[in-house]
Amino acid sequence: MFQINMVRQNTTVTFAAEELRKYLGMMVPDCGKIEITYDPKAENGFRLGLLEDFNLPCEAKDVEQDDVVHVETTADGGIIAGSNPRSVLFAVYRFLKENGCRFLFPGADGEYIPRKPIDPVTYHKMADHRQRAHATEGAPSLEHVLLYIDYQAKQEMNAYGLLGLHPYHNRFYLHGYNEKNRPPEPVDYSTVEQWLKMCEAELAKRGTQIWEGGHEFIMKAVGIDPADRPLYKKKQKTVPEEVLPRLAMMNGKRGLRKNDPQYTNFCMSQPDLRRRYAEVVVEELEKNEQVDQFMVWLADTNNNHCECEECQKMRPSDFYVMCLNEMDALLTEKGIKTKIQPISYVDTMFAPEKVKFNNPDRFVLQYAPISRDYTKSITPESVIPEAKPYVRNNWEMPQSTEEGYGLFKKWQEMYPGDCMVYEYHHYVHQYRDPGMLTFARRFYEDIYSWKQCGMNGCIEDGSNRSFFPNGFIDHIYGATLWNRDLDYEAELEDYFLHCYGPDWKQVRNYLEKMSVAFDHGYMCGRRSADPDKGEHYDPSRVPALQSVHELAAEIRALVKDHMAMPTRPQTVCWRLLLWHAKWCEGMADIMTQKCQGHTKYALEMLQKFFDEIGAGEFEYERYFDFGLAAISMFAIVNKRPKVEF
Amino acid sequence: MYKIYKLNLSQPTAFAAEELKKYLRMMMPECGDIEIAYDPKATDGFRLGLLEEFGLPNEAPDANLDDIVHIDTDEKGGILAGSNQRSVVFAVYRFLKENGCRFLFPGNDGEFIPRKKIEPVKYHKMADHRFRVHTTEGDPSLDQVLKYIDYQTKNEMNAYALYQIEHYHVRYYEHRFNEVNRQPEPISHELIEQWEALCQTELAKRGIPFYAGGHGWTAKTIGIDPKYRWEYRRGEMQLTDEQRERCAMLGGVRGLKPKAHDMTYTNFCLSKPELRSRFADVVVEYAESNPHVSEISVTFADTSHNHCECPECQKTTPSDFYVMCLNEIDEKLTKKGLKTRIQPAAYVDCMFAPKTERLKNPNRFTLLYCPIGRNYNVSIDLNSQLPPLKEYIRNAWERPTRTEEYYAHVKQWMEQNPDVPVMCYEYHYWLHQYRDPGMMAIARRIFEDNRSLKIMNMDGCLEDGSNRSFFPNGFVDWIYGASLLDADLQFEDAVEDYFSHIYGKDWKKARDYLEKMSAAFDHAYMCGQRSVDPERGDFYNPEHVKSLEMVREIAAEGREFIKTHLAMPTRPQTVSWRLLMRHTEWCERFAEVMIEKCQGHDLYAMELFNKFAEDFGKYDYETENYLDFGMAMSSLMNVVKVHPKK
Repeated sequence: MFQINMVRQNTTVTFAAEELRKYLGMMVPDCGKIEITYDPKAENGFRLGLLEDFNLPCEAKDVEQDDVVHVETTADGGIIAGSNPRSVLFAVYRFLKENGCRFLFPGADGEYIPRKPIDPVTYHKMADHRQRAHATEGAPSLEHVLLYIDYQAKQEMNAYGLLGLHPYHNRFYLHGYNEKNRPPEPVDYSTVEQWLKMCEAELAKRGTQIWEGGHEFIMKAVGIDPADRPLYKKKQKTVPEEVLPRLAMMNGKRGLRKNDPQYTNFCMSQPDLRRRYAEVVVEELEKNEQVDQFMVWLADTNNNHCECEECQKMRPSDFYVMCLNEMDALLTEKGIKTKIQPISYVDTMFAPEKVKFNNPDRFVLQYAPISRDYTKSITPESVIPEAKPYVRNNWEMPQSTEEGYGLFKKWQEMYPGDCMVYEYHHYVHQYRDPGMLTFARRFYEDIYSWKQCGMNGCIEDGSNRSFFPNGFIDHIYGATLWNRDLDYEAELEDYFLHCYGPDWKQVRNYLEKMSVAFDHGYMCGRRSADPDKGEHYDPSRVPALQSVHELAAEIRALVKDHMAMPTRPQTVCWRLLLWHAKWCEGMADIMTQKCQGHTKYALEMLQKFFDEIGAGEFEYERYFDFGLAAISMFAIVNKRPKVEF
Repeated sequence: MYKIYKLNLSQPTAFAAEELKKYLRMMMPECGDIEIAYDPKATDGFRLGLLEEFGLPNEAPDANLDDIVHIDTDEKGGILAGSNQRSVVFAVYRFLKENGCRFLFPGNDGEFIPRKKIEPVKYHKMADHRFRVHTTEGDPSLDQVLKYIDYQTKNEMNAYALYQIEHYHVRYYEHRFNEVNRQPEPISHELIEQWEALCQTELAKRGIPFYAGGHGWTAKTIGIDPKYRWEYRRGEMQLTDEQRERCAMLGGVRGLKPKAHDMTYTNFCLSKPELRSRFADVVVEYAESNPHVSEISVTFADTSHNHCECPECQKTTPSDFYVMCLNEIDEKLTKKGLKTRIQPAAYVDCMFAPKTERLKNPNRFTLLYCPIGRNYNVSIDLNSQLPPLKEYIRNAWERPTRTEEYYAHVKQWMEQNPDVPVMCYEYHYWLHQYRDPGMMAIARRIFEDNRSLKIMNMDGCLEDGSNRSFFPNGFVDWIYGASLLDADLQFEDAVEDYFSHIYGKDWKKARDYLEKMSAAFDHAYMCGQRSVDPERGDFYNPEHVKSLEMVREIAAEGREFIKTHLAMPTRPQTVSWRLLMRHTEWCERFAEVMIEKCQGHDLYAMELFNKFAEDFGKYDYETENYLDFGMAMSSLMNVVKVHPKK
C-alpha cells in the first residue's frame, strides 16, 4: 500500500525513511509491507530528500544551520523534504504530527500514534530560531540521555550539547540524596568517554548538530587531566610544580580555587598559555570532525581571575577574545570550519573593551544569564540599565534580567555575528514551581522576547528529565523555538488533552493552583519579609503552603478514576500525578517550616522526605530528575546568605 | 582515521554500518570521526556487503535461511560480509566480539565494550543451526521486547516470532501476582497491534525475519475474532448458532471448549471440507496481506483432548486432517505466487503423526517439534532408547512425560516427510527455568539439548518463553544463542567467558554460589520428579528439607562476598553483582516456601508464597528488565498450589 523512496543517499535520510515506515505501520497496521528504496528519480510513494532534490526553493540563509521543512503529501505519498538531512527527518515528524501523532515525552510510553488513514498534508516553514538545543545536565543515566536525544529530534530540536559529562552521569550513578534507597554505583571517566561516543553516533544518525566543549579545556591547557578532577577535589592529588605558574594568581598566590581545577583560570596575560589554550581546542577539533560547534569557555564560577600585574591591564573578556582570535586563525590555517561558541558568562559577562573579533563568522556568541530573575522576561517596555564597570574579583552577579541583558548589549555592540542564549530554566529553577505552569509561561515569554534582543536561538543547560508531572515545559520550549507565533493556550490545550484526555482541564486547574500556592517568586527567594532572616523568610506564606494538602487530596480523588486510560501517555501521566501530589505535599510542609525561619527543622524534614520519596525512584526516574531536584531544594532549605553555585 | 563503506543500499547494511561506527568510536574514543559512505567499488576501509559483492564463495544451501559470516580485516579495515543482509549485521557484531566486545544482556548496561585498538580478525563460519529463534512470551512490556530484539541480533539469532503477542503484553500491564505493588494498567487490542507493527520495523531494520501465526487460525475459521478471546472467556461475548455449528463436538455438544470457554483452546470440526478450506483461506489471506512475514506458524487449537468427536471426524486422525489443510494452504499460496513458509507443529494431538496424509511440497514447510510435557532433566543423546509409540486415542491419550517418547513421535513425522526441515519448539524459558533458581542446571540442559538437535536431525530451535531470562544473570539465554551458532562450543569455556565478563576476577565465587543454589533446590525435585509419595503431591519429600535449609547458609555466604563487589569497573559487573544480592533474597524466601511444601504443609506454603510475592514484588521496578516477575510467579505458583490428587 505504501512505498517510501529516498531520493538522496544519506544516513539521516535513511533513518528518516525508517522512522516513516515505523509510524505509518503503526497508524495503519494492516497496510502490509512498506518498502524503502533509493530512487533519485522516484515519482510516486513518499519521496524523501532535500529541497534541491525536488527543485524547491530554499529560503534558508545557511542550509547547514537553518531548518526548512516542506511537506506536500496526499493519502499515499508525496514530497517530504528539508533544507538539510536533519530537516528531512523533521519533515517526517512534522508530517506525522500533522496526521495526529504526538511525541509527548521520551520513550514509547510518551508517544500517541492514532490509528487512522493518512490525511493529505501541505506544510512549509523555516524554523523561527536557528539554534534549538539542549545539553546534558542534572543527573542522568546513559539511557536517559539516549531517550532524550530520540525525543528531542521529534520536537524538531536541531542541536545537542555534550559537555563535561562525567559529573552529571556520575551524579545519577552515585544516587546522591538517595543513597539509602540506592547504594552508589560510581562510573569512571573512561566509561563516560565511551558513552559520549555512543551519544554522538545516535545524534549523527539523526543529523542533529553535535555541540561539545565546556570548561575542561582550561584544565588541558594548563596541563591538568580533567579525569583527575575528582582527585584534586578530594585533595588526593596536588598540582604539579610546573603547572602552578600557569594558574591564576589570587591574593598573591597561584593555585587551585576551592581545590577544583574546573573553577581555576589560567594566567591569561601569558601569550604562551593563550597559545596553548588555542592549540588544545584546535587539536580536539582536528580529531573530532563530527563536532559541529564547540563551546570555548573559561573556568566555571566567578571572581576567579588572575590578579597579576599583567592580567590587571585588560578585562578577562579582552584576553578571552585574544584566545578566540588565535583559535580562529589556527582553525582557518588547518581548513577546519567548526564554529566556536564563546560565552558571555560570569566574569566574561562584561564585554571586552579593547580587543575585537577578527572573524565574526567563526563564532556564535552565547549569552548565559545564570543569575537572572526567572519571574520576569524582557519586554519592549523593559528598561535596560547601563552596564556597571567590571571590578576584578569583586563584582556582584546581576540579579535582574534587565541588568544581565544590559551587560550583554555591550557585547552585541562590538560583535556583529550570531548570538544565542545559554539558558538555565531546566536547571534548578524549574523545581521552584512545582505546579510548573507559571514556569511554562516563563519559557514561552522568554523565547518570545529573545528575537527582540537579537538572539537567534537557545540552548538549555538543565535536566533531560523535566517531565514531572508532565513534559509541557519541555514541549513549549521546543515548540516556541520552532514557531514563535504559536498560540500558548492552544498549545497547552493540545498537550494536556493528549496527556490527560477529556478531563485535562481539571489537571490544568490543579497544576495552576499548585503554582499559585507555592508562588514561584517566593520559591525563587524574591519575596522575603525580612532578608536578614533569609530569602525564604515569610511567615505569611503558611496558609498558602498548607492549602497544598487540600489540592493534593482533590487530585488524588480525581486520579483514582483515571488510572487506566485509553492511551499509554494518559495512563502514565495520570499516575505520575499521584507522585506529584506526594512531592508537593512534602515540599509544602518543608517550606512551611522554612518560611517561618525554622531552617534546621526544615532541613531535617527534607532529608527524611527524600528518604521516603526516594524509595519510589525506580518507578518515576524517567520523568523526574531526583538528583537535580534535590540539589535545587537543598539550595533553598539550606540557603546561605548569598547566591552560590 | 577509519572509513566504512556500504557495498549495497539495503537497510540492514546501513544499520550494520551505523552499529560498526558506534562501537568503533566507543572502543577508540580518540579515533576521530568515522565516515560512512556507499561505494560498491570501495577497496579500503571497512567494507560491508554480501559475500557475492566481494566475489567470495557462498556455501550456504539456502542463502536466505543459512547465515554465513566472513571477516577478513586488519587494523585499518577489511571485509565484513554475510550470506544475506542480516548476516552482514552479524558480521559486524562478530567482528566486535572477536575484538573483545560482549553483549551480555539487553540494554546498554549489559554491554562490555573495551577501550582498545582494533585487532585483525580472520573468521569464516556458517551457523551450525539454520533456525536460531525466540518468541515473545511471558509478561513483557513493549520496551522489554524492543530491547530483546536488539540484544538477540547481537547474539546472531536470526529470526523472531511474534505469535499472538496480545496475551503476553496484557499480562505485563496487568502486573499479575503483583497488583498490590503495581496497579493494573490495561491496554487495548488496537494498541498491541500498533506495537506489533513497531516490532516488525525494528526487526526489518536488522534484516531479521519474523514469524507470525499461532493458535488464532481456528477461531478465525469458526468466525470469531481472536482479539476478543477474554471477552468470550468472561462470557461477555457469545457464539452465534452458525459459529457453534463449526466448533468441535465434545461430549455430544458443539461450542467453545467446555470449562475454559476459550476460543484458543477450541478446534473446528475438521471433517467438514468447507471449514478446512476456510482454514486455508484465512491463512492465505493473512500471507497475502503480510508479504513481509517470512514464516507463518499454522497450528490447531492450543491444549489437548479438544478434537471433534462427530462420526466423520472419528474416521481420520487430527494429524491427517491437519496435513490436508496444510497441503491446501500450500496449493493456494503457490497459485498466488507467495513464497511464505508455513510452520506446522507436531504438538499435543498432532504430535501423533498422520496415518496416510503426507506434506506434498516440502519446500513450503518447516515442521515444529513441540515437546511441551517433556522431562527437562534429560536430553536426547546417542544412547537414548526410544520407546514404542502408543496409538492415538481421540481425547483420551496420555501426555508423554519422557523426552524420548516425544522424540519418537516426531521421528515418525520426519520419516514420513524426510525433506521437510525440522525446528525444535522449546520451552526452557517458559515455566521451567524458574524451577532452577541457581540456573546452572537449566543452563547445562539448554546446552545439552542444543547438542542433541543434530543427533535428532533438527535444523535449529525456537524458544517459547520469557524475553527476560536474565536473573540473576543472562547465561541461560546466552548459552542458547551461542551453542546454536557453534555446535562445538564447550560449556566450561562458555561459562568462563560469560561469568568473567559479568563478575570480573571473582567470577568463580559467583559460579560456586549459583551451583550450590542449583544443587540445594534440585531441579528434578522442583520439576516434581522426586516425590516420595505421589498421592501427597509431586513435591512431597520431607527428606529434601535439609537441602532446602542449606539455602539460607548459601545466601548468607553469598551476601558476604557480594557486598564487596557492589561498585565494579564495568556496568555489566556492577549490575550483575547487585542482581546477585537480590537473588540471595529470592532464593531464601522461596526456599522457606518449599521447606513447608515438601513436608506437605501445603496451605502454609501457599501463605508464605503469597507473602513472598508481595514482598519481592516491591523490587519489580528495579529488577523488571532482568526478571519476568509474572512468568516466574506463575511457574512457582504451579509448584506451590495444591494440585488435585493424581
